[in-house]
Amino acid sequence: MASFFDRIMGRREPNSAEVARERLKLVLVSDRSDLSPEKLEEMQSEIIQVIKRYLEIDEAMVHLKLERRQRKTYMVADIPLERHPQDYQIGPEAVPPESGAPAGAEVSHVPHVADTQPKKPGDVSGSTPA
Amino acid sequence: MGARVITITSGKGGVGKTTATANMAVSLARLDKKVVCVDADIGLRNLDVVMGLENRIVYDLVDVVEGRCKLRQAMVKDKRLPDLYLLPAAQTRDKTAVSPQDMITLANQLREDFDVVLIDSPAGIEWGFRNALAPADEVIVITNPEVSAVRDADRIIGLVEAAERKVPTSLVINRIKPEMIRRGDMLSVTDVMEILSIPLLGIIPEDELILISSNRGAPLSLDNDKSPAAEAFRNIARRITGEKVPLAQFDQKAGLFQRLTRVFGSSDSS
Repeated sequence: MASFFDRIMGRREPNSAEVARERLKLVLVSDRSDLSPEKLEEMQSEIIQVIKRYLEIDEAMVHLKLERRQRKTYMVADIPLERHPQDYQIGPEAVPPESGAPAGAEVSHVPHVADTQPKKPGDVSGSTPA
Repeated sequence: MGARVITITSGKGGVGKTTATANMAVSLARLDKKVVCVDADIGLRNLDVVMGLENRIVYDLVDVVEGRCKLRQAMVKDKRLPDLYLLPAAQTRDKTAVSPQDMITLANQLREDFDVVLIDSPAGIEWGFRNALAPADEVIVITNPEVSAVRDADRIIGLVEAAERKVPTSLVINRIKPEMIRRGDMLSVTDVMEILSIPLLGIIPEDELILISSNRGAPLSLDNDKSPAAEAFRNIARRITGEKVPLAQFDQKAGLFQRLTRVFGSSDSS
């Protein structure tokens, strides 16, 4: 039983109906997609390989999931970039304009990840995990 | 006359498909519609006992399909109402005795004489369900607020949607316990609708009288006008005839206090 303050703050154990709802949503996604978790993972690593040819991404943070809205299933991807998209220049000698540092020095750009996230067109879901 | 052919299905067995078919048929007949219900569950017929017509069966659906009798001879008239008929399933045959094309031919014959043809589909997604779906103009999916029933309903809706012929579907949620929903221990109507995302035709509260009326072979909707379940079936029948009838309020999830904490407590709308 949640305490009075927990309830005021909206902190409480989910009740059994809420648990049922969340479990159903998850099971229906896989029922309808015919895609096993292993296949999904395989696809994710292939997608990462393709994106890495064009952008620097934080590979460990890439998150791919299937999500149901109405009667359609969507594939939603969170792919954090290591820098602002405008920092990129096309061509093999690409150098970030503001620093002149070599392209490998991405560590200093990590804080940009948070800034860029909402602007990315691929990021339909926001960053709410399932 | 050009009847509407409505197939009632659920995927999962035991959600109250046959009882709902009987009560919708009775309710529609009481609204002066000429109604026939067809039991498509060949080998496991039940609509006859629920309606209390089991002793009056001479021929059945398979006899009609195989030409042993005329359609009229196989139809059992319910004497309690002026215009209610049952076309019983065969009990000694299996589902492969009838094909989807047979069902279309049969339904087309029935269309001429009735306002509404209700087809009670067998559980499952196999042959019997395909037979029941083949002639449908509309599909009513019945479910319970339980994970297993909702999951199977989703599967059925997916199959109906994937069919070449587009058939509108609507949802009936059966065996609702308002008190459990209020406690947060039963999926609410809103929850089920959000998950299944098809139009809601009606909600039926749990009612002991349903079992009692099945025991007696006299569907609840014949009388018992004050029973909440009978009222819910009557409302569904009125909606089928095109009337706008508001939904009963079985769906209050929580009291005011809990609703306030829900509004203030969480920002994500799921």
